[in-house]
Amino acid sequence: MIRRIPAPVAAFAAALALSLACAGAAWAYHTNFTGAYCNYAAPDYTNYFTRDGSMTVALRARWEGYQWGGGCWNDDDVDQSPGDPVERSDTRGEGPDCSGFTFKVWREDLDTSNQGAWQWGMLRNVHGPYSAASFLGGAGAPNDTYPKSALIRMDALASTDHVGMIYARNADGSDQIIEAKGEAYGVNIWTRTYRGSSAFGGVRRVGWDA
Amino acid sequence: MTAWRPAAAATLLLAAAAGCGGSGLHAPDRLSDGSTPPPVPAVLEGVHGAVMTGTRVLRGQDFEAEPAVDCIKDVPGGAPPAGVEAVAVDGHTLTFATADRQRLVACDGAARAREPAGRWCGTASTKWLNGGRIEDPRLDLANCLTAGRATVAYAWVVPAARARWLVVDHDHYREVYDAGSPFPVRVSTTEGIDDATSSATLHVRSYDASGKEVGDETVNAQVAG
Repeated sequence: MIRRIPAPVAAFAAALALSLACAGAAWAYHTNFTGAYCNYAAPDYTNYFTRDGSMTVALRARWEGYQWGGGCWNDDDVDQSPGDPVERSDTRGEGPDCSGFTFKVWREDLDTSNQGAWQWGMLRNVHGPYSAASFLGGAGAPNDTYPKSALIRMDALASTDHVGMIYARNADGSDQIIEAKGEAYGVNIWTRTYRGSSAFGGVRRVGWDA
Repeated sequence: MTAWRPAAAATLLLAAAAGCGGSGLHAPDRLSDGSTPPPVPAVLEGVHGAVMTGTRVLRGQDFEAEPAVDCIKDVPGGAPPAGVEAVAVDGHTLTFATADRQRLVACDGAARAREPAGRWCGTASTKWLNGGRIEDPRLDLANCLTAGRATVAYAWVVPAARARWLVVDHDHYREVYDAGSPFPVRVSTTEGIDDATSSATLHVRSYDASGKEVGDETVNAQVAG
């Protein structure tokens, strides 16, 4: 004998199944890397900071993930949070975004009026107050716009939507840029022609000791 | 005599409360450019402590004059067909879509800037998605200051469907923005900013043309991208 399920019960069951399916799908994105591994430790002030030192900081993020609005990563060369929805700052994944990466590598202060240098730990979850557009405009005491032709390693090229730092210059005039490229790519070094693009401007972190 | 004192104290408290407007809200009498705020729409008379922001729609030749020309000078595709300038209590903004209507661009302005760089102290850009949505509010808090040197934060807010007005809660007043354009509303504030996380929290409500509340949202925006 087949019993018919009352319509309200069937509707409730369907809604429950759908909500559980949706919750499962959402949870798959949320590795909660920042909640599990990141911290809010105070940074260490440094009175001597160099381009080589910042390059070392940057290279530790190579092969790690990308997180919109993020700034926390480890150094195991694996993206712990692949496939997060793009441009969502609440997905708590591993890695920086482009401007958070630049802020941390350039060892800047949360106070935009302070040029001082701070060593942020890799697992310190911090993005900083600058977007790519802010860097492009030279916003903040540590940042200045700079002629593109004169940029050297660890200077940056920024547009309203993206910022990356110069790792090396190629013989053909293009640059190797170390950057947090996007959710599907993470952080790495790519050959770019930002220097020749009218959308990009030059930015320099001021105050390098060497 | 002893009964008189509590009664007098209560009377004084009531008088003080009445003098402050009762609700504790007090609408500012000046916008960030020094102008007098326009009248609050009559349908929003029930919104206590409301101050109306100034709104101007820009078209064609408006983009050939300051301050718009300085805002669009680096935007690919040249002058946009239209834009919206909003003058609020803490800051002013210009929002427009690129000529291909794929992106929104904003220039953010205030009385002062930490690093003076022209007429605008900040910019923002984001994809403009179907239905007028955006993926991120594009919080900007890096460079703009009030005359009193308080940090001004800016973020795009997408009003609720059918919204005609957007009301942003501040500690001591409520700021009314015209939400009649197709663009998200670029709001500005000095409140709800968390410097440690480079984020800001805004409480906004949407009202339709009749003054009926059609949306109530807390927006958590973080600097990103």
